[in-house]
Amino acid sequence: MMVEAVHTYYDNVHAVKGISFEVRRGEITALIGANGAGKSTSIKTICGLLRPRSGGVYLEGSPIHKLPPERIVRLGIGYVPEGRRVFPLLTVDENLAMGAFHRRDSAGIARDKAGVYETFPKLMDRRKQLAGALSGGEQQMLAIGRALMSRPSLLVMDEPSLGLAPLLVRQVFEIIVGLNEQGLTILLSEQNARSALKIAHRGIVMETGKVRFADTSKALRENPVVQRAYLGFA
Amino acid sequence: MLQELLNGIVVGASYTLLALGFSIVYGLIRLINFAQVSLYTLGAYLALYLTPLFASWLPGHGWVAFSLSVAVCGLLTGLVGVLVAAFAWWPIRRAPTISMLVSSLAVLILIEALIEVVVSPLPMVVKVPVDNRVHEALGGHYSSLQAAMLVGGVALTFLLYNFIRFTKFGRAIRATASNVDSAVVLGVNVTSTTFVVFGIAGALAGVSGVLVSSTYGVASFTMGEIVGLKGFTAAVLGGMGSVWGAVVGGFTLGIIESMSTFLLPSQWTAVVAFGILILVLAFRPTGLLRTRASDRA
Repeated sequence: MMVEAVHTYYDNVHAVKGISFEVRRGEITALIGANGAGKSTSIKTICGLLRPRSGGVYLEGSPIHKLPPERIVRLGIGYVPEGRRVFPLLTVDENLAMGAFHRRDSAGIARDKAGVYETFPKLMDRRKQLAGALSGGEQQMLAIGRALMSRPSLLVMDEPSLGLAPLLVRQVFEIIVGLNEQGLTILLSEQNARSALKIAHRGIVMETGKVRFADTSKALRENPVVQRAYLGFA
Repeated sequence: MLQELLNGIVVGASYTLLALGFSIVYGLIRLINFAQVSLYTLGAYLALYLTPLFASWLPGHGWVAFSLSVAVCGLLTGLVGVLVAAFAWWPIRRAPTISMLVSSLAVLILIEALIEVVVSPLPMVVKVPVDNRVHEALGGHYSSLQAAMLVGGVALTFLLYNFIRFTKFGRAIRATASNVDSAVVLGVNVTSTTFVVFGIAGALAGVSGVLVSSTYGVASFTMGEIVGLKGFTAAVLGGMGSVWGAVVGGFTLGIIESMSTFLLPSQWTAVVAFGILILVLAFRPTGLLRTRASDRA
């Protein structure tokens, strides 16, 4: 997937100022930056929740930035929103069913649901409960499971570790690595650069709506500017 | 006592149908769609013409003709509900809710005025071609049409509840109500969902209008106003946006009103109903069934 020279306004604020980057197939790409750097706006633009004022988003070479979000999910982009955003008044099972909303193959949906429950056994135990009653960590698992139900080839995650206890953050990151090892391409935004660069193949560092650095995680970890600003080196 | 309870349940059925309409539209787009009140009136006036027409086609089958009329009027008001969405909501869907509310009220006044001008400003007598006997059961008296209203109201409520609870489309309505963005990125088309919901609300209101005007034998162009406000009260009572809440709110309000006639003259029922609305808003603004504000997402 390619993002090319995208400008996006969010509530009339010029939040993304001409960013370009690439997400390579089969890799984990981390979008790093402080609060307000434009990470969320970039991700919402990719998923179609926001329209770029100019520039474009291309999936396998074809433009998707003019499509409504309900079309983009059909093209294989799954989205895990910031703050999880599960449907609190729907049961766990119904939340997963919503993930497969655009699909018609009931056999495949049942198989994928069983797969999600296998990956997240805790959700299986709580499948009849309302999602609003789950803990933060469980809701994050559910949000990931729900996105997987759309059978994405690219999973886009907005701040997957936000508001989770350190132990859960590690768990979520392990899950992300596991999904990637099964062949899923992943783009995630993250304030915690240190942990994100540990699991990502590539990182994109955003500052005030622009891309500051874009490189392999290894190169970014060795970059003295990144070290000082994002990795806590003195 | 049982008589009042029965009356309350029958009246409650009409409140419930209106409350359901208010609740599902509100759940989806946070709009209190007062326009549906005019579809209640419109349903009654359509039946004024259609019931005798169907009865003339089906002589001797009064109940069949009446049921057909209820169904057709419901379909027609459902269609008008979709048109209301198309003309009064869709063009201003990105505007603040207050604009939509004004637009919805304008539709209410417009349809009422049209009925007044086209039909008559005077109340109309509604004749139903059925043998409307008075039955005695459970220690009370009730007419066949009251029974029909109760059965119709309960059956529709049951249908709608199961539709929302168990179908894919119903699940999408609930999901969208709980978080629009999350539903959209999963492939829900919010615009078409909203059109369908306006249609359902219109059909419920229309059926309710036919049943009430047929049972009490009278229709007037302002007949929707008080009932509409009570349906709204019922929806608030149960918790706006909740289907089950609308059902509980509708029947509770009907029964309380009816029971209040023990203590107060019957002219006071409106005072009781809106007194309850004020009390609920003061002490439980999210309704009786809504326990956590966070549920509303």
